[in-house]
Amino acid sequence: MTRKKYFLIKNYTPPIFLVLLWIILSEFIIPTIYFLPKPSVVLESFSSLWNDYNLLFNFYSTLGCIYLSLFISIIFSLLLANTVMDKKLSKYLIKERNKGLLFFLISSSLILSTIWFPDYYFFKIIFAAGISTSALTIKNLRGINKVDSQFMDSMKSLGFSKSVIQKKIIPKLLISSQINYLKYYQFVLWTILIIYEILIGREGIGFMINKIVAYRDLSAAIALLLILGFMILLLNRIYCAIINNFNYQNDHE
Amino acid sequence: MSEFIQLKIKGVSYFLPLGTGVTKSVLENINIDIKSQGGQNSFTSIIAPFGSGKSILLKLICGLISPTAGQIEFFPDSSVSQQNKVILINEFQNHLPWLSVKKNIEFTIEHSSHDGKKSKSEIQNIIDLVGLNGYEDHSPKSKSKGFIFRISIANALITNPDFILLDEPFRNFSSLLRSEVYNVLYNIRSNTTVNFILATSNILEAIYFSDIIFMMQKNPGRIFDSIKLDRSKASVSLEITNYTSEVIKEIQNRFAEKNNLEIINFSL
Repeated sequence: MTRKKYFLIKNYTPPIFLVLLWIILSEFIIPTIYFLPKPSVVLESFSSLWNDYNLLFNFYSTLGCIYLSLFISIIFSLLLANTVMDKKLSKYLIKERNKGLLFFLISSSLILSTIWFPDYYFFKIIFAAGISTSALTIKNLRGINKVDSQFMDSMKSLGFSKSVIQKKIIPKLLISSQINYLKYYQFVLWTILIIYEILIGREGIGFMINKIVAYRDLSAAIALLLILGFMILLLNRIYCAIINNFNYQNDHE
Repeated sequence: MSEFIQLKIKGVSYFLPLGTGVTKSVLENINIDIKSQGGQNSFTSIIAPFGSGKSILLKLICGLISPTAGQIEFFPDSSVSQQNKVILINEFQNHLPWLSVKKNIEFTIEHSSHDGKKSKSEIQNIIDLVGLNGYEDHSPKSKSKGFIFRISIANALITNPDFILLDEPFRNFSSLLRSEVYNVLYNIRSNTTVNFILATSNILEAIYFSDIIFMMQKNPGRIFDSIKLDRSKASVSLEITNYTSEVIKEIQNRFAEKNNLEIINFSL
């Protein structure tokens, strides 16, 4: 058996088995099962999600917000980290013991901002970008702190000025670790934003979940979860394919 | 590059501040005099146990830090700042991991404050010299440490330095990789006028390359002796010859007198 075939079988056998088990159980053995609707009902719910729950618009609202805010925060976090790296503030930000206080300050200012900024979609981007910029800046400052002093000595001895090191070398060193971090962080942001939409949203996936829960529409919930699972798998694949080109071995962290 | 180059380290001491006004003496009264004349380069090694302050001494020579006492002077042109003459290569190597061989060199030319070599033929000559001909567009990603060392040396050579300081750059290399990069370094030594200062705890590599070996003790770091080598006998091969074993014995004896013997590495 080839390596590729082995991994295909290893990865796809468990989900296929579970789906088959679900079909057999709910369609033929226990047709009135409460916590798991029939696959045929779930299939019908896809069209209901599209039409009644406005799937396309809500997906666009959440996805657009996540990736637009990530793009903004990557740029801002690199700029911010470069600006504060030499200042006392950077030492304060990277201390483990200050994590809790920082989280409280960021989240409370964002909650208050929901009142200050009434325009919902605009604020949702600010909310996501604010959280992401804070997380990525702290990650970058930790990365800078970890850049070995021996490497910095080599760079200085080659005649590179402080400005070249700060603007052209350190950001590149950070991008590799930032890209790896984003692979996981994008899903943290998904979770945060969906919770935010559930709580105060007027649109987005969280808003859909809110409606589904209010109507106790179990089949729509399962259909949505299937779509979300597929989306996460697909996005992860695309992301991995893209980052492979930027991810060089980083010996200096 | 000048015909006559001299580096004079006169009574250099370095105290490391430990906070609350307490200092630790890392280096004490270091005196080293290195000369090269008539286009002949020199290769000087400093053998010392781990933690004796070799790296700090090289940083002082490089001008990255200033001595607490004493002077470091370059001749004939002492007015040029130290950093214009000296490049430091340490274990982490001075290369940019996201750039190819050629782009690494071009980046150094573009952004270094040193007045280095700039023409295409000069770049190609350096790439040939470090043995990276045909690998110009290869990036260091997933390449060996030997490949990275070659890029680092090329980056250093393009700045046209008087001195290249090597701070245990081969510490984590396998013995096979070491012999490969020794050949590269030997080739560079033979075909350029750049002077080298190697700080190492490996006695064999010091003997293989050096004209003179300075021996350094720790706590505090102090040069306690030196030994001049006969180049025609020392760099015959990487194997231990009669001459090499004589020198090893001599160095062993001198280190034994200082009780620093156990930390020196005698294997390749």
